[in-house]
Amino acid sequence: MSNGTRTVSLVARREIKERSRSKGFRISTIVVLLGVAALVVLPKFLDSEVTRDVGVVGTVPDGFQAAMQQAAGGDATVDVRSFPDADSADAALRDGSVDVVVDPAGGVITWEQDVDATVDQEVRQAMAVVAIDRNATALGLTDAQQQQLLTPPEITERNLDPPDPDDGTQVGVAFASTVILFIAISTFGGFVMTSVINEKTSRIAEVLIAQVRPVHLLAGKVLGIGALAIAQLLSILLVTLVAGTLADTVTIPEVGVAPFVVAFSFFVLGFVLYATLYAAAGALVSRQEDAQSVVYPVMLPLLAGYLIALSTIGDPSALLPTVLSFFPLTAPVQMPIRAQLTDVPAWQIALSALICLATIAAVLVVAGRVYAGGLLRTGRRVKGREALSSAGEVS
Amino acid sequence: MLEVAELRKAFGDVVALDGVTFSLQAGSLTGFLGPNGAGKTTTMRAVLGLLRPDGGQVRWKGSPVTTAARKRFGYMPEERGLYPRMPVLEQVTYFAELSGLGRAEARASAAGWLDRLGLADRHGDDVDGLSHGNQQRVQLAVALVHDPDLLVLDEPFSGLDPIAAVTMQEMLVERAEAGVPVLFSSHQLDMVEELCRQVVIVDRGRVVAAGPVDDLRAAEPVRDLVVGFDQPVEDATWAADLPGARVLRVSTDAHHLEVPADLDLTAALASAARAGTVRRFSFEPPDLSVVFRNAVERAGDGG
Repeated sequence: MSNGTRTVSLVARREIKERSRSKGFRISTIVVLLGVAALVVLPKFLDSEVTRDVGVVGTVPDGFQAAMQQAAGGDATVDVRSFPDADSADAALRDGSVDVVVDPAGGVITWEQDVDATVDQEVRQAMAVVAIDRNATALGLTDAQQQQLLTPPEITERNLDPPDPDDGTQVGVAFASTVILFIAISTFGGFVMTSVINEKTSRIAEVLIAQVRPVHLLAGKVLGIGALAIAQLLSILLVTLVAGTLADTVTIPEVGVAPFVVAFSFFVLGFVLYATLYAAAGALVSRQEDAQSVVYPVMLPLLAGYLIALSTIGDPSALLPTVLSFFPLTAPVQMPIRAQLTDVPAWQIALSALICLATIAAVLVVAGRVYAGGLLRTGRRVKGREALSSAGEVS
Repeated sequence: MLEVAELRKAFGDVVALDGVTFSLQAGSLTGFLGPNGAGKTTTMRAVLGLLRPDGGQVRWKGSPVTTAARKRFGYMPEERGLYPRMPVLEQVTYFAELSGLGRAEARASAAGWLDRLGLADRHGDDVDGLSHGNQQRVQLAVALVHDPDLLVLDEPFSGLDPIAAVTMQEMLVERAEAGVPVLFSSHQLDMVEELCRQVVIVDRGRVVAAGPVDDLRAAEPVRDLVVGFDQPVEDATWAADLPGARVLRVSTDAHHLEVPADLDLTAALASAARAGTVRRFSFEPPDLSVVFRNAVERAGDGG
């Protein structure tokens, strides 16, 4: 192992140890994992609660309960209650004990305020079945004839494009992974900046730079905190898959492995890019309180890219998201969405990644110099240009 | 072993170093003196490679300082440079490893130095739980842990209690005796005089005096003259006979004077004898503080 590699790994190891020792980090990791697990499991409970409380004015017509059950689906809990008159039925509607009131004689469906389109459809269907049944009996049709009358036509469906297995899940996963990418890049990038500022304010930088080249220090920090970030992301992924499989809300075949690979790769690129920028920004200030003033310029493209990516999630093939998926500062949050929701050719993903890599190389050179130059200057905020020109000979 | 030649550095319009030149020999313990803002810290930082001088050069064993050579330097900055939330032993071990020691070796050396500095029972404590003096000891351990070839310390004695200061002195003397050139800055001139064979005095970015302390003191054009009488003598009017003499202090048992170095001592003793019976008569080179003050004043007049 060369001297530089050894230094980088020493610095990285120290960052990992210091972070994982911090109570705040441990607690927030646990909270995040619990939150993710809850989000994954939650739909299960939401979906299972289909109940239909229907009030009927007068006698409940024969077959209405059965027809309503059929319309609402076999899993639904259907409760049909009879009320002597419209007033008592309306009162029940107001106090929430029924969702809807049906007057079969007058042919009226009453709602408290807004029409629930799904329930409305089900009630109308049930009323129609009851009416057809009654009319058929009035016409003197036999049971067999009635059965024949109610037999629906045979219908098959065909699609010009193969159907998406579950578009909702795809969008959901794309949305969630973008949010997680954004939070992870800004949180762990922020950690890098905090770490740099701490070393600067406590003057550790002075002792360190006497022994270690700034570029090794920077690399060690980014790698160490990056490794922690990856560990946290992998645990989130693991929790998602385990909890999702157990609760049967997320399945791997449904989502596929490729989106995760793309999202992960772009996380690594995005993190290295932004962490380096954050480190350079951190080297320009001497106090944690001044961090705000330098963090915004770094944060802005990431935040803008993130907001645009989410707001165009309905149409990721539009011009703006397509362009932003190649722009290195926004690609990390934009390309994973495009790749998951549309058919992005592999060469486009590779090109975007290459642009990111080239940018990282350029940023490392410039930010590395700013970092080296700013690290030992304390007091007022250092201007980027001054830092560039005053880098020590050790850089 | 270490040569600092014609170092120049300006921060904007402020000239911090204006041709600083001096050298350190193996095994020398050198005091680095100067008023605040004279350029001591800037010089030290240039030696450690923490800033690039605008001109001049630092040479180690005859050639420009390499990164490898610099890894073998030990440095203690003026302000605390330790991770507050990191256990003491782990921290010193970390710095030892950064300077190139293997893990086991680093740990053994760190533990050894901490024990010698009186921190044997604090290995597992976080640094921010230690007193200022103990933090300074940890800082010193960081500077010493890799057995450096050169030791540079910026104000190592500031804020130390007398016991910690003695420990610090012992360590510096010991390192110097082991053949390591030691350079440290300080404002405590009496301690420097006691501790150091040689000093470098800087002012306004220039070396205004440098060399063995005794030589510098002897080179001063004045001497301290102390005359003691068997009976208290109220005033020092007798001193008016001495050409160029200045009365510094009259205490119950002695008169302290500053006199020219070429004073006729026989005549001076005769003058004193007229005022009373002389019991004590000492003629010594002035203290380092006088050397310091004169050097800085002369430099100020010159500039």
